[in-house]
Amino acid sequence: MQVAVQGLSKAFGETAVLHDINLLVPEGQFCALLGPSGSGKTTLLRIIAGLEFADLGRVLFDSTDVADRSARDRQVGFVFQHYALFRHMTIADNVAFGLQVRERKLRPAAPVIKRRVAELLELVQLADYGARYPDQLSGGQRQRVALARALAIEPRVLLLDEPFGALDARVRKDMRTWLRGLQTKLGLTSILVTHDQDEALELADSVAVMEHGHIIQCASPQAIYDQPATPAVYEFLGGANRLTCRVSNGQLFVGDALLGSLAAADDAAADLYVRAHDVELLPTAPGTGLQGELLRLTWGGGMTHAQVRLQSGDTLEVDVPPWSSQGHSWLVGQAVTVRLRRYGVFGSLAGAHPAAFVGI
Amino acid sequence: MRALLIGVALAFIGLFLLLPLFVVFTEALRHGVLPYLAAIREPDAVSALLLSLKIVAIVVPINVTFGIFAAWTIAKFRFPGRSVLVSLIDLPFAVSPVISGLVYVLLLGSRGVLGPLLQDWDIQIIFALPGMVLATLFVTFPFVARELIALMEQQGNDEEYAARTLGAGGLQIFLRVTLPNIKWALLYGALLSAARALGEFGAVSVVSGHVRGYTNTLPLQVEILYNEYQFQAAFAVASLLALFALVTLVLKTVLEHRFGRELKTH
Repeated sequence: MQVAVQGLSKAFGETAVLHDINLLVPEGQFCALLGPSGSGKTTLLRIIAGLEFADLGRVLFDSTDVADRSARDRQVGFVFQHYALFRHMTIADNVAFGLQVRERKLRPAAPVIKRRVAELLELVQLADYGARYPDQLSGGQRQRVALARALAIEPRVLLLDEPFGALDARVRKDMRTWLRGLQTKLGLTSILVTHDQDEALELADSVAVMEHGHIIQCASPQAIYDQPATPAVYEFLGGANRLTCRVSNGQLFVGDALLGSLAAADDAAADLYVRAHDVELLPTAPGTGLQGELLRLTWGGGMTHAQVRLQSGDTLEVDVPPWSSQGHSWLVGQAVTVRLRRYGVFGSLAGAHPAAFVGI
Repeated sequence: MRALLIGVALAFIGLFLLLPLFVVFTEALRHGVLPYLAAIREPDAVSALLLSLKIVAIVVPINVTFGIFAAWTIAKFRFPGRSVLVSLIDLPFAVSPVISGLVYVLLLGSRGVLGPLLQDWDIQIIFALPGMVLATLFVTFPFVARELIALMEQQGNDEEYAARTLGAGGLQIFLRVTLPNIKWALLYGALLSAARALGEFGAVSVVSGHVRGYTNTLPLQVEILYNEYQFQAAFAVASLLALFALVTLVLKTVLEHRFGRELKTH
């Protein structure tokens, strides 16, 4: 089923939490809502589920407006960050709940429910755990039970609210891979809320980055990463160096150094964003990049982190892969040249952000 | 040092809790078993016992019902005036029971604000069972509500939301999700309020009018017997209250044991 959100706004009292949200999740796609806490992503998910209601705008399941349907009738599978398992019920009873509360004529017969529960527990790899209670399971297992419980009602869309937020790092990674496999297998339209960029980029077909109640960019993970729409998206996806630059007659300068040509930009100051791993560190080679001085070196496992003071006065964080030094060792204080392999330029005129991206 | 502290604690408990309990039973049985049985079979004593039980039977279900409503409202919703409501629930703990009894007399007695109206309708509240029930309700209301509010706030709303997305209706959510989660706390609160209702003296004393055989509860009967120098009979009736207290204590301990395990499940 396709989920569409159109012109949605919501305020809690005086505080506006969502502004004119538009979102389209096509049938079978996995969409991630990515943003810091307070960005409105969970509220948006709860409105789609029918646990909250919008002040303005529509939520469409396929072409049906579900505005006047409560969560009870929307047939959505909702997975909560803290599992929300029924603590006094066995795992099997938890999974069976959605079927058992149906009105009599829609309720499957007891043996059918039992078989369905067994299938679902098999699906989430917890076949032998039916008789246990939630407090006897680990966090990862509980979240799989919550998923089985949500799937029991044959939901038309799966909504996941920070589902791995309470799990430790390794379990989270395993669960991520497993969930994506399951979602692909079931072909179930899914929306995930997360503040973890790795999770969003790895899991989703499309990522909607949210900030202050707006969707600031919605695109494929690759496009989000390679062509962030605003500096905020850069900041949010793991951060980047910001350099002050100047565009003049179609040429891009950092300080006095010419970086390259840039089409469709006015003569103006602009901001250049470049990620630490998109910068190449070289021994001094005049004329081929930006000149600077090596300020600091920190060994960080796979990468060495270098800090370079440019002639323009900006400092630049650089990730140096172990194989790039080609036999010579870096010394703090030495003169170096950096090349920017891939970066984005944002004009700062009048708050607009016409962006240009350059990749070498 | 540790031994000293434990010794002091034990001596204190012995002196102020166990010794009085011991005295109650020895005084009650001072003249043997037969006078003891005679004292508690005496018609006024029996009617006092029945009245006390009747009040408990009326008050506890009301407390349970309204306690659930109050706790549900306070724990699951945010609304203006919520903190005022929380303070109001604690009010009976802060007010002297005698005062609360007196308020009912001033409000509903024959010379009270609503007295003439009630007389016109021929309704007797003060110096009758309804007044005693009201006074007891006022004093015992916080027990259930307070137990539940703490637990329900800690449990949050997620389970109810989950049930809703799974297709459950309001009543189903309450009966299948909320109630099972609070049942031990509910029982615990009900037990405490029953114990308090049985033992309440001040508030009930003011509104009862002490009509022997009609509006005397067990504690009031003890007082009357004692004032009439019938010490053995007074202690015999008091021993009934002490027995109820002991049973309550045992049940409470069992529940706390059970309840503690339930609380761990989150």
